[in-house]
Amino acid sequence: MSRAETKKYPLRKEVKGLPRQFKSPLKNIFMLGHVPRLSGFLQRTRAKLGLEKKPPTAYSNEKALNELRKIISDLELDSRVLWDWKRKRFKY
Amino acid sequence: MLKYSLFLGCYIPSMQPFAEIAFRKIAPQLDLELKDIEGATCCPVPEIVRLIDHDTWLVVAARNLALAEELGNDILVMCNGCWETLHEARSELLHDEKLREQINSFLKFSGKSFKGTVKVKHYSQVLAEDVGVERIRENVKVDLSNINVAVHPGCKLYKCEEGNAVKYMVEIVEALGVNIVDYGIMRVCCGYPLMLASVDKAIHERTKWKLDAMKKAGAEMIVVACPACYDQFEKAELALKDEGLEYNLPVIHLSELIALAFGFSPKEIGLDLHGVPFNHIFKELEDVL
Amino acid sequence: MSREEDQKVLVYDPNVCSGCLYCMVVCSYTHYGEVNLEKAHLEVLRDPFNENRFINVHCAHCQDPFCQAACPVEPKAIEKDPETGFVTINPILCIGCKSCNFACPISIPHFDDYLKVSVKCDACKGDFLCAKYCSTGALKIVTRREALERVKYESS
Repeated sequence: MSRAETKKYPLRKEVKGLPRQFKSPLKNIFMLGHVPRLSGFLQRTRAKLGLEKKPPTAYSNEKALNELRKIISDLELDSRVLWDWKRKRFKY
Repeated sequence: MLKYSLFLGCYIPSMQPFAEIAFRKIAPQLDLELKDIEGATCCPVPEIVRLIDHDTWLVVAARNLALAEELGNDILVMCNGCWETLHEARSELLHDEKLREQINSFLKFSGKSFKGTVKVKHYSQVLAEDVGVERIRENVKVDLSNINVAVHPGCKLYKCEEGNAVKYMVEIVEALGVNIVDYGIMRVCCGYPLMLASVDKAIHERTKWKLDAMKKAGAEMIVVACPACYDQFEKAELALKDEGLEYNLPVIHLSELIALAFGFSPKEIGLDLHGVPFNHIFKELEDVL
Repeated sequence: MSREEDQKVLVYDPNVCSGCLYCMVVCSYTHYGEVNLEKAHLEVLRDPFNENRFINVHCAHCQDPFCQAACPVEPKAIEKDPETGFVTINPILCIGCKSCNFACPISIPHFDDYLKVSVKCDACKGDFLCAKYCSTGALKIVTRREALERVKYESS
């Protein structure tokens, strides 16, 4: 809430979102199913080392990611942390 | 042949693939058969998701455990955080029948359910208990006795097997023939969870403290069992380098050290991909190999 | 007396603690919704007598609390639940005089600048999340009887 708004509505309570530190890991869990992003460089490195480009986890498995998202919306975690699925970011 | 389902977590496949390839290379020599858990997601992170919502943490962990139950083998975990999540969620669900039914009702749509038939094991625990330290010692082909290492087990291993996992890790490192230096504060945290609260405090009051003690004791590299500790040590060393403090203490995973001792070349397991270079130790290594 | 002995308290084992301070992160998040070490109701410090160790300052939920005795308000703002034994501050009755802050031997109640009252550990309503989420298992939930036995054992 900006200062002008505080002056206009002195009794209005500020909406407290998640702490800043939790936002980016949680966003990645919502979007990728994992905490860090698997970059193109790392994918090439994996191939060079003789591994699959993407591990068979939620990085490459669309079904697993959808199941995770369903669990999250069933338990209403997304609405409690004020996550906007359309804009793909936190509202606050 | 010992069969395990391999749960890698997030950090190892996406940021530290060298630890994964090293473990996959040493597994056949130790008669371990590893099967990937297809469709696994984040464990999820105990530090963040459990704090925000305990139920989501339990359901997602139960889903990962249920996937491993379909494969039927015990889970081998390569990350301390994943070990904590899967182990604690499992014991919490096993002890509370009502909670188990409630959590399973959220998994019904995917046709999975948690039963609690498989165990969760950290890889140091598997290597020491099921494979055996003797077996590792037999397989050592390269003499690494001129390298001084500092062992950092990481906080969560103190909970694993009531603290025995730390002993296991030290035993394994000893069996590889490297020289372990005693720097006095092995137990102290690397500072990773503190990064959530204060980056400055984490780097200067925890990581720097540990690095100073290691350097003073004459260590040449740090052996870790946890990808978060690995990340923290490397990040802190690079951050402190900007402040003019150079440590040159490369960080190595336990699996990589085992692979080196088993005779795999440093290039093969991607030792050149580390953030803190191994150059000064590399020369010695290449002479040996 | 027997009921009092079965009440739950926190114990801390400095031999196991790794000083990760995650308990303080948990405490400040559960009570304030933010990650701020200064707002935590417990504190892990470097041991002044042994620099490689840590000590933890946490509320013992005393059998006869000093903070309650020092509270000047009538009815008392600090109450001890006879069933669970948890000592809590009622923020509606508290006048923010800081008497309890000085009365407590380890200064557990502290003044909250935002609420303008004293605050202290409320045992997360019986959950003790700091002990539940402790990384190493250094913080444990035990009954008062076990805790007293342990103190006797350690001091002997």
